[in-house]
This record gives sequence, C-alpha cells and structure tokens, in this order.
Amino acid sequence: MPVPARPKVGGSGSYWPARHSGARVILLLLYQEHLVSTKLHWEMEPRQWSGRFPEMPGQDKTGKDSPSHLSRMRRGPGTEPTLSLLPWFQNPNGHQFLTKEELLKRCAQKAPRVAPGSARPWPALRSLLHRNLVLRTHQPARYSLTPEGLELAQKLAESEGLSLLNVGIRPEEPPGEEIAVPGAASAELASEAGVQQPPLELRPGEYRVLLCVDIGETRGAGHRPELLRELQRLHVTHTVRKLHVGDFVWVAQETNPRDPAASPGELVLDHIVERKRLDDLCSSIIDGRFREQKFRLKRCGLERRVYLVEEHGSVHNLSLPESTLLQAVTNTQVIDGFFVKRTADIKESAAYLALLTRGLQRLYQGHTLRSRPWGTPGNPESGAMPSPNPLCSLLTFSDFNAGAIKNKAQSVREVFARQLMQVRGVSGEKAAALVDRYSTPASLLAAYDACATPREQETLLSTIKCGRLQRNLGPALSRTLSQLYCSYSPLT
Amino acid sequence: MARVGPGRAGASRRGRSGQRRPATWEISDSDTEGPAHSEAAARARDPAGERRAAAEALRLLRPEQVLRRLAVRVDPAFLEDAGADVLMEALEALGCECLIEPQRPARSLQWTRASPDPCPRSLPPEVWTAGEQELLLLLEPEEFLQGVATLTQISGPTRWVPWISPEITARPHLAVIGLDAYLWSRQHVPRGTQPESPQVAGAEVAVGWPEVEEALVLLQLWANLDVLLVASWEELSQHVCAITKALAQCPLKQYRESQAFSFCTAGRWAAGEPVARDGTGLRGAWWRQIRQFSRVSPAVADAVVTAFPSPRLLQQALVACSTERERLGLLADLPVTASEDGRPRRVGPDLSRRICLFLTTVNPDLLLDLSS
Repeated sequence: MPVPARPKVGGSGSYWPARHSGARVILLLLYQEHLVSTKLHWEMEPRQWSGRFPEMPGQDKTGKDSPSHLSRMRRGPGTEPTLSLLPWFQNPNGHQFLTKEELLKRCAQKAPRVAPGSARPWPALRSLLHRNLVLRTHQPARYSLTPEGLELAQKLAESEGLSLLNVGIRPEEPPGEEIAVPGAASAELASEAGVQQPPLELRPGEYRVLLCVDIGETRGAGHRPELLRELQRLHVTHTVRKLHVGDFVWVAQETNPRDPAASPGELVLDHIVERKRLDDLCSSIIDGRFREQKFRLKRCGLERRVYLVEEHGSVHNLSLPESTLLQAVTNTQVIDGFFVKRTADIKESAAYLALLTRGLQRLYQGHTLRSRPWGTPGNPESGAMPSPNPLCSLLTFSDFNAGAIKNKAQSVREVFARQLMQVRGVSGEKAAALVDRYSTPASLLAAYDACATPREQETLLSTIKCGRLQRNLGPALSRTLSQLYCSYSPLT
Repeated sequence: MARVGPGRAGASRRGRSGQRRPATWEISDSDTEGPAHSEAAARARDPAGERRAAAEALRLLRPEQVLRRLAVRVDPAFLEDAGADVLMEALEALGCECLIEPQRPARSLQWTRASPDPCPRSLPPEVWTAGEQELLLLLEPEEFLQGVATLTQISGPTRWVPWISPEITARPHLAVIGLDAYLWSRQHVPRGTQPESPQVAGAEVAVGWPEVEEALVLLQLWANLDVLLVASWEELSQHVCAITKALAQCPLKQYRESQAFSFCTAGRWAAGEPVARDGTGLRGAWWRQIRQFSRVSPAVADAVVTAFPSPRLLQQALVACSTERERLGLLADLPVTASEDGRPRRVGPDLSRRICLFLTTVNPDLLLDLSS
C-alpha cells in the first residue's frame, strides 16, 4: 500500500530571506495586501474588529507619498469610504490575492533588480510555494500568504521597521486599451463579499458602451491574439477582463464619475456571447461541458444569449459526425433559446462582434440605464415577443461576474452526485436519490461502517427509491457501489 | 460515527420540498408543488395505478412519441421549386405529420405540437404545450435583399420587420437559398446589361455582403430573428429536419432540466466503462470521480489515484493525520507528470484541501472553492 510522503512543514523558524531578496520582497508585497484588506474590513465592520493587527503608521498625516487608494480613506467627516475605491480589496476574511502580473508590477516598482521578465520563471516565488509560505489557487493563478507565510512576513516587516503605507503602488493604466482589471476587481469583490452597492443610474451621454472580452479568449492556442488585433483594426472599443461565464459581454461604463478617483460605475447589457470553434464544440459535447456551460449561461442573469459557432466550411477531422454537431447546435437554438450565429473564421467572428457592438451602441442611444439587484429579473414578462426597446434595468458588472463565480463554485453535494454518476448505470435520477439519502461521502462511508456484515454493505443501497416511478436502485448497483466505497485494497 | 438517518419509504420528494431550500439548479421553471403533492396523495390511494400513469406520462415524453404529435404544415408555394421534394421526403421519413395547406405568411412552413389525448395529469401541463409554434419563412434572394436595403436605411430600432406581419404569433425563422451565389453573380454581371427588376433598379443602395451582415445583426438585436443562409435545398432540408427533431426533444429536455442535477453529464458520452462483477473497472470510475472536481487534469487525477487507489485508502490516510493542517495538505505534494506547457508539477494545496474537505465534511452545502 503506497504511503504518501509527508507534506513539507513550512520551516519558517529557520528560514529568513535575505534583505532585498526576491523572496523577501514577495512576502512583504503580499503582506501589504493582506493588511490593506483587513484594515479596510475593519473600516467597514468596526464591531467585528479583533484588534490583532498593528495600527497603520502615518494614518493621520496627509502624506503625499501615500498610495492613492489609502489616502481616500482620510477624507473629511461625513464622507463614507466605499469599497469601490479600494482596488485590491478582495475578501473580508483577510485572504488577499495577487496575480503574478500584479506581483511583478509592484516588484518592478519597489525593487526592480529582483523582478524577472514576466514570461520567465520566478525562482523566488517557486521557492516560497515549495516552502508553503505562499499559496497558489485558481487559474489564472492567484498568490497569497499561508498562515506560516503571514507569520514570517509580519516578522520581516517588524524587523525592517517598515511603514507599509509608503510603499503603496498606484495602479497603472496603460494608454490605449483599458486594463480594467483593478477597477473592476474592487467593486466585483465587494459584490463577492455581499456588500450592497448603491443604486446606479446612467443617463444618456453619461456612459459609453464597450465590448468586454474574456481574457481566456485572448490567450492560448494559435490565433486567439488575432481576435484583439482585428477588434482594434475595426476600431471597436473594448476591454479585456476575466469573465466567469461567457466569452463576451457588453458594459455600459460611466464616462464621468462624480468622484474622479473612484472606479467608474458599470452595468452589463443583457447580451452574452459564448464562442465555440467546431473542435471545441466536439470535445465539450463529449466531456459534458457543453451542457454544463449552457446551464450556467441560462442562470447568469443575462437573457439574450448568443452561441457563436466558428469554423464552418473549413475542413476538419472532427471527433463527431457533422449531423451530430448540427443537431447539437440546433437544439441549442430551439430548446435552449440561444441565438445561433455561424462564422467561418476568427476574422468573421470579430467582424460580427464589431457589428453587434455598434448595433448595441445605436440601440442604447438616448436611454437611461439603472442598476437592478442580483437575483431580480430584468424584464418581468420575458416570455413576450422581444421588443426593440433595449433592456434598461441592468445588473452591475461586478454583481454579474461575482454571481458567476458563485455559480461555478462546487458544493459537496453537487460533486458527490457527479461522482456517483461516474459509475455506469447511475443516472441523474439515481444519483439524486442517493444523495438525498446520503448527502455527503462521509455520511455514506459511515453508513457502510455501521453495517455488521459485508452482505449488509452490498445491499445497503439496493432499496433506495429513484425517480418519479420510485424504482429501487437494485442489488447490482448497490453491490458495485459497495465495492467502490468499502474496498481497502487497490481498485482495478 | 455519523448518524444514519431514518429510512424513507415512499415520496422522498417530501423531504426536498419541505425542509430545505432547494439549490438553484433544482428549482424548475414549472411548479413542483402541485403535481408532487397530489401525486403523493394519489399514490396512497392507488399506488400501482399511479405508477402506471406516471410511466405512461414518461413514455409520452420520448422524442419518437412527440414526433407523432408534431405536425408540419407546408404552404403549397413552398413546393413550387423542384428541390422541395428533397425536403418533403426527409420530413416524411422522420415520422411526423406533413400537411400541405396555404399558410400565412405564404411560402412558409409551420410546426405545431399537439398535446397527447388524454393529457397525463402527472406532469405539469406546460410540458405538453410548452414552446410556441415555430415558423420558417423561405425568401428568394431578391426579396431578402430588398428587405436588407430597407433595414440598413432605417435610422432607429423598430418593431416592424420586413416580410413578417405583426399579427404572426409563431416564433419565426428566415431562410434564403442561394444568397451567396446570387450576390456573386450580380457582382460579375457587366454594368448596363443587368436585368433589374424595377424595385432594385430604383434602389440607391448597392446591397452587398456588408449590408447583409449589418442587417443580420439588426434583425438579431431588434427582433431576435435568425436567418438561415444555405446553398441548396439539401442543406435546407437538413436544417429543417434538425429543427423538427429538436422540437420533438423539447418536452423531455425541459422535464429533465426541472429535475435535480440536470447539469450533470448523463448519457452516452459520459457513461463510464462497464464494471465487471468482480469490480474490475472501478479504478477508472474512481479516476473519473476525481476529475469531477474543478480544474483537475488527467495527469493530476492520475497522481491522486496512483497514490490512493481507492476512496477508502484515502479516507484511511486522512484519519491517520494528526492535525487539520496535515489532513488538508495530504495530497498537496503528490508529484504530477508535467505537461508540455509546464503546468504545475504537484497536486497542490488547493485541490488537496478541496478533496480532503469533501471526504470528511458532513455539510453537503459546503462550497469547496477557496474564495467562497
């Protein structure tokens, strides 16, 4: 029986990164973010303040060197700090994440010598990961401090007597195409934290409509950067962001926010586009993602769903016959109610998106837009014939994207059901019945443990009633599941 | 040891609708209250009869049964072109009813779905009558282009759409055969010898592909109207048959979607390899189980299953850990064969945490992702 290697202990007692080393810089940058997030959490929820963290030095001074985002906290009496001003606020539990790009950017400003080029591996970061001082999650990767890393960073900070306020970094905006990630992230993460944002109203002339491209559409295999080039060539105002559902949406963005330092208010229009090349479509049908993606798109809060199917007419060696693909796409149109657009290649797709963008810009001219809370329908009579009047009661972009993250998050129940369906013969109905009875694996394993004999284990599940017809799960499946969940020897 | 709950006989649905708020993916569009409760009561009175009725209702949901109740009405003008024979043969081969009778608008094809007679009460009525009538309007290229010219010259959004009068209640689709060939031939006819119909000769706008593309987008935005551009009757007939089959699948899919775990992969593509009586094949199932977590590649699943070739072995190792931290990090350092693009070479603490929480928690609603 294989015994796994013991996980490495952080060893923070013996490890002390040298001054000005890359590892130390990384730890301090992440620590700074951690402090900013917990400090601001304190600002919002004074009663929950635990008082563990040191006072931020220099708070009462109006230091010109202070980073813009923190200086906003020192406004005069009567002004409320709002989360939308805080670019890096992520999670009120104090877990602060930074992406590799963000780390590199700040490192380049703070200590240029230790930052490698963005495409190069970063040994300092890797070493911290291996020592379990820094944690990496999600894709694209986000980095944060582990409890040991936090301890170490605290000691490092104290040893340097650093005033972390003075090493703040102003988020950059490169000219030309917007990098809206920082501004958007703040409000979005406020939404994740469940904080209600004030209602937003955008009158005609106060906003512009732009295309929002999922960052996953711009990286990766082959010609995806071509999409952005084409959009630029066609003069489409666009922004690239991480979307948690769909590949393209449109945002109505405030052009002159009342508070110039704040990130502009943003509402997401009712249209959402999912783009699929034919080969992607094949593989997603085979592995089941197709259905799941459509399911999530139907619940994302946007009603005008578009399926953009690309690479028609080009020769393919596809894993599914054409007739199957045609049926799948037609089903998406007729049964799921998506609008289907077929294009030959990525240039045509870009042209289509450009036309849609322009069309939406025209459509919304002269209309006042208002934010609506997450979970409410935009159009009460959504079954009615589509009206040429565009939907003006819209979700905020942050609510939309945060809601999509929540929909993606897996619950134990859901994963357990999916796992049960990996056994041949266990259908959705059967899985539902099983999970209804034993809603977590721990519960099922415990039930097996409570059995007196192997025979009892084999028959434990055979009388579970499944589906509308309340049929028994049956002795065969019950036995197979007991083999899976009771075997202390390697499965074959 | 966890408590084993009381055994439940009969309607397990009682638990779901009464006690906990269903997760979003369980909430159906149609009402779950009525049928379930009345069904439970009916079952108490005549269990065998109700089961038969429920079985019959489910049988009627099957696409081949729905096809029998689907009627396709074809306008005679549709059939003027000899190519239409292909279409009619294909439709008849499907098994639905084909009627030739004048339609409004002319040159259209309409699908209607009849409810079964008698209509089973055990499923919500929407399942039988759900979905509007569908309509396919066939346009000549010339006709289509005239509409395009008008559309691209209109200044603002309008409810009016060329070719379709407002009193049409069915959900319309447009189709044009041979638009590409038509436009191509027009471009290549030398000026001055163009055989023009009066309307087009008078049009100021030269209508080409750019105008067509623009009009397609306007039709989408203003009226949610799609246009099928095909090269031949053969192609049109493939689409028409696909639409017909999709309509036949509507009731079943809508019913399934109202059931729990509808997003899960079930069906042919996802079914695993068969498991033999002696349990051979379960390792593959366990491997696929690991892949059900988000962001798990085949290589990562390999790593976990190689280290713990059964769920019990993993559970055993977890129980043997002395601290919570050890438990959550149990899988983190398992090595993973690197893929070409230099992806992570170990399982990592995030997935380790999720898997370990998953196996040990008693809270089914716990969200496994870190940021939640």
